[in-house]
Amino acid sequence: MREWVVATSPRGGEPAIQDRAGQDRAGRTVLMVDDDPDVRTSVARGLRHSGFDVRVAANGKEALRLLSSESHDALVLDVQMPELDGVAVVTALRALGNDIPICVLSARDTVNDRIAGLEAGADDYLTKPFDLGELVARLHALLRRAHHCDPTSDTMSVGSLTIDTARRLVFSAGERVELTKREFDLLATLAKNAGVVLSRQRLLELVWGYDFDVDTNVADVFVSYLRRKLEREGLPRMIHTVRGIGYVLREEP
Amino acid sequence: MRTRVAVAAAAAAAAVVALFTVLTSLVLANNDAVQLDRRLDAIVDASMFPEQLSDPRRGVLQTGRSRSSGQVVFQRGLQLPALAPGTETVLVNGVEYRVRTIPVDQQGGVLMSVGIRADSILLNPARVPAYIAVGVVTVLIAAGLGWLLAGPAIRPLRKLTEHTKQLGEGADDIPAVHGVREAEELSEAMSAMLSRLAAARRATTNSLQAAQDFAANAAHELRTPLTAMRADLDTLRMHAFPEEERDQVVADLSRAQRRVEGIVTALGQLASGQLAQAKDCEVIDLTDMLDRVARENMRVSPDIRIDLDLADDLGTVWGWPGGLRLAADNLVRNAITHGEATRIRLAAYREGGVMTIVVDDNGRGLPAEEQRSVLGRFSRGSNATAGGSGLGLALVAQQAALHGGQIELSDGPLGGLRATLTMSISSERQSDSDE
Repeated sequence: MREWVVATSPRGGEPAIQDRAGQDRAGRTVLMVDDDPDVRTSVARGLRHSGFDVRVAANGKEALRLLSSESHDALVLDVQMPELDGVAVVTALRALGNDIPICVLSARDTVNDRIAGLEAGADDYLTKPFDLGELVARLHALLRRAHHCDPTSDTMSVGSLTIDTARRLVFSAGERVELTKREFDLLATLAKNAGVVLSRQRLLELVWGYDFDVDTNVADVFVSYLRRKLEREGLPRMIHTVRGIGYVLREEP
Repeated sequence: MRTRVAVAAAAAAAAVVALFTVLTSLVLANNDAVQLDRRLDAIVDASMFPEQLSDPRRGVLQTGRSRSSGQVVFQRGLQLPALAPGTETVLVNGVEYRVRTIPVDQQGGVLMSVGIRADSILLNPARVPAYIAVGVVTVLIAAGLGWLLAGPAIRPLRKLTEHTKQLGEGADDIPAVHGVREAEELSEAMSAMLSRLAAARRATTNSLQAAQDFAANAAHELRTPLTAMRADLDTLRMHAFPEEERDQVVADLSRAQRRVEGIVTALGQLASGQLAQAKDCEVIDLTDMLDRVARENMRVSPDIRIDLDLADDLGTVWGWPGGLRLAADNLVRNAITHGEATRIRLAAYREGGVMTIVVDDNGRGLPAEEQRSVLGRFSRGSNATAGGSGLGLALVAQQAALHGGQIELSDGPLGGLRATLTMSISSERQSDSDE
């Protein structure tokens, strides 16, 4: 709470650049949460100069308080914080039904931290130290996705899998499967293209909106979550890996 | 063990020899009797029943031939072939006869051949293969018996071998083996060796784990300032800044850089503390050292006052001068940096075998519940100034342990924190004589 960053005027504010990128930049509020003041200051400053309206919080409690009192468009969250850590914040937000796009930051090489963050319902992760441009690009994409709602609302079936896109429900062999928002989007995308092999790059583009070169294995991580949830109790594998290419949803192996 | 095997082998050999001796003597005795009977038969036949001599089963054969013509002169029983003087074995009607031929000066020179049956003789060259076979069988029986009898003798060794084989596959210990002293000793020696190995492995695993944790922590600590630096550099690269804002970014960058440097330095100090060797110990004049600590830290800012309150008989301690200086420095710097103290009191006294250094400050102190936890590596007080390495007090604790003492934090009389650093002077060798 020591550093309140007041929104700077967005750079793409002129009506001349009312393209997609311009819309993204227009006053999008990002909450940056990190317990280290140096990181907080520097990353917030970088984001602000990249056109975001940045708020900062020093810990999970403060972040939850800010999120409940004001509306934010995206959240950049450090996983490792004293007291209420990043995973707890994600869990709490998703439990409250808040589906704000979340990118978690992890300072550890060990996968556990970020995996826990993604599993709790975060949308993406970056390992510290990261490229600021990368964070900015991903935030833009995540924000674009958040507003892009799928108008088609029908029920798709692949094998024993039924996906109700209108109510965002998934049934596997008749039983309901609890999926996070991003997991659902990934599964719906695979189902819409059932039988078609989708590359990692294409999945990142369709599900995360990353239409730029991005070095991340977030798609693979989410596929592994989906498999774990869909293949319980000896159900056959539905999402198949096509080595060197990507993934495909189909009934037979 | 050795006795056992020897006894087993001897028993096997003895059994075979005994059996063989009994058999041989029986056969030989039997054979001798047969021979004697045969001889008697021949004598009886020759003298009493010359008419029966024609019976080839019993008889003594006699054939006389003229020396000059070779004509048969007289014959008893079956006819023997013409033979030269001497002794020979011949086959007559399928029966072996031993025949001696002698010249007799009778009827103008006659060669008389006398033959008796030879087939009942035991020691016959034709039977050599049979004897060899018997010998081989005997050897085989001896070997078999030896093998059977030696089995129990080496069973403990076999067990030991089995246990040893199972070692790699789950079993971590070998059960004790009983029965033979040598095997028992061997199994005990192996058990002892195994437990030593296991202990060494545990120690290695533990220190590896500690090293891994430490490396992970160190990496995490370094990543934090590096993240800030990376963000600042990217920001500078991506955007144009007005002069003063750029200066601000650069100032932040150099602060983060100093922070990285501080962490690296502290990590180095921690490592060298871990590798501290007894031969680097020196006599340290504590009065002199603390005086220098006070003077050098007061130079940092004119607002800071450091008072010294040292006992007159303070004397010296035996220790690592660099490490002790680092500990004292860190305590004072902590008070200045994290406690934001303006007044610090450095006191030292000796009591029994213990030297005590007390650092009091008038800073903002530390919540009581953190006064222990903050001594750990990479842990910081909740009210600490940002940018510390999280290693300062851990270094003090390490030095305290190296010097046989400890560090304790408590609420101090000046309103801030009190740090009490003790060290043992029991290992001190020349302090009193030096005074």
